[in-house]
Amino acid sequence: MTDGVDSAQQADERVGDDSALLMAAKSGDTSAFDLLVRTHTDRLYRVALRIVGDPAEAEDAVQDAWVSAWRSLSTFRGDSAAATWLYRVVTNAALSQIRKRRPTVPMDLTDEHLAPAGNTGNPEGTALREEETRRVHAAISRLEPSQRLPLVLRELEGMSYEEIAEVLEVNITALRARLHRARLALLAELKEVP
Amino acid sequence: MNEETFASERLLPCGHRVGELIGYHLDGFSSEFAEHLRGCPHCRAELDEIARRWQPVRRLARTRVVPSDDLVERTLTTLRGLRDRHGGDPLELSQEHGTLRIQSPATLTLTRRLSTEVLADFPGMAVRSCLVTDDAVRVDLVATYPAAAHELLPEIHRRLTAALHDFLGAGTPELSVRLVDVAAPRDGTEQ
Repeated sequence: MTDGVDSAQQADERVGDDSALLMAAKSGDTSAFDLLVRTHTDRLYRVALRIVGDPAEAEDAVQDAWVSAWRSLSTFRGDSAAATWLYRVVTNAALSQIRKRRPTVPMDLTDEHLAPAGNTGNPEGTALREEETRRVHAAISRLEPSQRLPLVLRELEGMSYEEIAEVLEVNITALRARLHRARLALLAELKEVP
Repeated sequence: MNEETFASERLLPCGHRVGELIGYHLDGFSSEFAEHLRGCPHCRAELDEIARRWQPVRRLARTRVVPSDDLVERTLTTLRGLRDRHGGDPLELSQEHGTLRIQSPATLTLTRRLSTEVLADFPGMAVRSCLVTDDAVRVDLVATYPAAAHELLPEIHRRLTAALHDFLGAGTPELSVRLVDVAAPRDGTEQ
């Protein structure tokens, strides 16, 4: 569950640091919690955006997630990784955003803060790639939340089955079934993407 | 890959099912299946097609996502407001039949939620932070240029006051709504 640039040792150290920061925050150290906010907001935003599909809603979800995290610090017991706990908080906040969405408000997929990794130097190619990014994102946004969450966490965040099961609080067998259905549904949606 | 291919139970001539292959492609496969794959044109063709279809998802996974520059600061401001009141005296609101006491985190959460709902009708306007002070609630907004923010503020204030009133009745606290920043329009951010 890393950004793909850390060594295993760096990742382990960061997981330990994050848990220590959460425990410190739980003891009343507000600066420890603020450091977590500064460190993890980008990641939580990325997850939220991929779940809700709308930048403004994703930012609201992230703010709600941090407020919720602060208020429920007492529930963090250190028996799960800090990142897992934060993923759970932000996925719940994102789900809450989806539930309270007004049916008449369309998702604004033209306003995404999404940029393909790497610049081809080819404006036409870049435009096509951005269009593809938007369409795939839209296809994921059309999946039912019960399928969308495991798919985002597995295929876009690169988390293990064990980590996802812990975040979503489901067993591995149920998770595999949900993910399989999500992949099939997305493949069906992707036939529309050239 | 045609429509039929999406049926995960579809059986290939070699006896493998399409559903298995999707799992193999995305989660990896055993040495036993690798051996089978070397000699099976049906599975190879199907896996190639699945891989082709899945490429856009792989590319999306590599896409960098960045929030607004000030999201962290907005979040910290909101948290400071929460902490300042956390454990402190509740907001006390005089009502016809007595005093309504509301714990400030609840007031803050309610105000944030209602602000978000009201601002859904005002494109370009967003909540930067909410603060609960001794006897009032303050909502700071950010406008994305070129939203006519100052013209909208009175109506936002009216709508939000009405929304709070629906929940809190006559004890609705004094509400102030301020424009504290104007942000540049968002575009496809090149990272």
